[in-house]
Amino acid sequence: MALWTIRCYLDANGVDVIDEWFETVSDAVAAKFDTRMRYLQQQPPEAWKRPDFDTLHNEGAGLGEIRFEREKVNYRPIGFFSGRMEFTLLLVAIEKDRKFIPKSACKIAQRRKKEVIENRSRARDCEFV
Amino acid sequence: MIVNLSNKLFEKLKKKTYRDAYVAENARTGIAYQIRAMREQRSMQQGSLASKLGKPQSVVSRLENPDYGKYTLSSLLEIASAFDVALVVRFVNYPEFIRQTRNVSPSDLEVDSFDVGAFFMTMSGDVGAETGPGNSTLISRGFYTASTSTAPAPSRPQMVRLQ
Repeated sequence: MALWTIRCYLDANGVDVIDEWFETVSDAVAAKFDTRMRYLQQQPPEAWKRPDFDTLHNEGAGLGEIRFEREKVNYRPIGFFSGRMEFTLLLVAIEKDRKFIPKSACKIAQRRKKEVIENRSRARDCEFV
Repeated sequence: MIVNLSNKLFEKLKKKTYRDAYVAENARTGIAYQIRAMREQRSMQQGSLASKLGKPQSVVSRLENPDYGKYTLSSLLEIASAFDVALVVRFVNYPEFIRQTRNVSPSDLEVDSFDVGAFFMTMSGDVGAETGPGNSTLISRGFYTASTSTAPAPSRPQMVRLQ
C-alpha cells in the first residue's frame, strides 16, 4: 500500500510534464521509473535517501531528486515535499559530469514549485504502476 | 488475494518490451530493497553484513543499490545464507508476478531467520493436514514423528520432536 502521494506538475496548458516526458523515453526507462516510484511510495520517509533519493542544495535548496540510472543515463526527476507524505514532481533532468541537463533545471524547478505552492491545481495526483 | 490492477498497468503490460523491462526492474529493485530491509530488520550496518559475507562494505552498498542488478544465483545464495533465510527462484505467470510484487514496504520485505521453534509452529499445521500415517514430508525427513502415546487417539497425530 502506498504511503506517499506523488503529484505531477501541470504546465500553463494543463499538460502533465512528467507524463509528457514519459512518452519520450524507452520502455526500459519507463519500467525503471515506474518501479522506482512504486517502491519509494511504500517506503517510510527515512528511507528516502541515497542511492534512491537526495536533497539538493544551493540553487536547488528546498528541492529533492529521485536518482536512477538506465542505459548509462543518470535520470533525476526533481520535485519537493509538498505536504505530509506528499512529493510533487516538477521536471525530469539528466545528470552528466555532476551537472544537470538542462542547466537551468533547478531554476525551472524553483519557479514551478512556487507556482504549485501558490496554486495547488498546478499539479495533479499521478499514478505509477 | 485480490490485486487491484490499474488500467494503466494493464495497458502497459500489453506491450512485450515494457513487460520484459518491468519484470527485470522488479527483480533488480526487489532484491536490492529486500537485502536492505532484511539487514535493517536485524539492526545490522552494511559493514557487519559485509563481514558475514566475507566481502568489503562497498559490495553490500552495491547489492543494496537498485541500479546494480548484476546478481548471480551464487551471490543470492550467499546472501540467503548470511541472513539464514531460504531463497526461491522460480518462473511464474503474470498474475502471480503482479500479486507477489505489489506490496513492497520494508515490513513486506522482511524475512525472519531460521528458528527451530518458529519453524515447528508454522509447519505443524501443514504437517497435520498432510499427514496420513507416517506420510508427512517432515516426518519422512526426520524432523518429527507421530506420538506413540497410549492416550486416546487425538483427532490428528500429535507431533513431537525427534531427539
